[in-house]
Amino acid sequence: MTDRHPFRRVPRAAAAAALVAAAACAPGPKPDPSPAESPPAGPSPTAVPDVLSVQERPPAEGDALPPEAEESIATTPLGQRIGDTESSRYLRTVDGRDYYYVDGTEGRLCLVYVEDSGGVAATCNAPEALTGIGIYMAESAAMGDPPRLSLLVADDFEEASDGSQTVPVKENLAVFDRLDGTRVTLSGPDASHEIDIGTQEPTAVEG
Amino acid sequence: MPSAKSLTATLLSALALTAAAVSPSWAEDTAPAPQKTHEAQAQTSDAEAANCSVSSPRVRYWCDTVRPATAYTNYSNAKKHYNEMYEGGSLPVGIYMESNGSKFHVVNGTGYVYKTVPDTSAWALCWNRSSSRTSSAHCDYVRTT
Repeated sequence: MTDRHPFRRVPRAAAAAALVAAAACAPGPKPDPSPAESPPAGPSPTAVPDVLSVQERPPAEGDALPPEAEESIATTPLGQRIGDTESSRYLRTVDGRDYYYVDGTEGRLCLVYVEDSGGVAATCNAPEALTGIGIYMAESAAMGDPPRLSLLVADDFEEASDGSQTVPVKENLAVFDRLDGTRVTLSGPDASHEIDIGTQEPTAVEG
Repeated sequence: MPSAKSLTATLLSALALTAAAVSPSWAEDTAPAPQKTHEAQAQTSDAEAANCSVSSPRVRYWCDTVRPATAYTNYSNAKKHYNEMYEGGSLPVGIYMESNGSKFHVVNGTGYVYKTVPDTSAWALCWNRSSSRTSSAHCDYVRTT
């Protein structure tokens, strides 16, 4: 795996500290689920955080989208869904795919990746989907194959499980190479949330 | 009191009207959504596409209403490099590509999904994965020139 993103080498603790500092300086109202500023009683059992700290992280070297993604945004309808490419934040690289967070239009949140081959994929949804229906791409190379799941995950969730395997949430991203089943449970110290990936292939096709 | 037969007839009429109301229409993206035949879609000009302020020659379709659990395709088998998208609000949605009857590369998500694929001779389908709500779809491809 190539290492094209220097800040990926920043230790997680240091990165977390930087994120906290960035969040403290960030303009605009954002819900803050941090324990230090939560009400004394803490979050209710049904409260689900929906903060995406990577949104607030100051830009760093390596955050810029690759030329393949920029071209797609400039020349295809993807550009109508991406609000500002300057908002792109590199998340991490998994199996030859560079993942990015990008602000979408109309306040949406977008997960974008660029493959080694140059292929570009993206998904966008409203912020409430983050802790609702989910913001993810479930991909299969062939119909019926277990999908690879790339999931944008809110802060405060530390891991994701499909019941038979558990993967860590890093940089607001969880990736299952082969998802077992159709349900994913996100869990963290103060919250858990289940996402139903749902049906993977259509039952009817019309032209 | 109406008979069971007349109630059934009324119900069938209502279903027919509903089906007509949600039937898909494919059209150029920036224009109103007139009904077009598949042949007409395949002949959509690049000049029209240029009206979308897109530099690459491409054709875009929209399907303003997609029934639940249903996929739509233009069934155009011309060689093309696909760029595909689907807009479905916050509903579960998906796209997939199909070539010579063989389905490949499914991308499912919610609200909106996009994927570029290598040049291929394939149909691109977009579908509403919701089992209960209708949605809308936009599908794109770039012609191989």
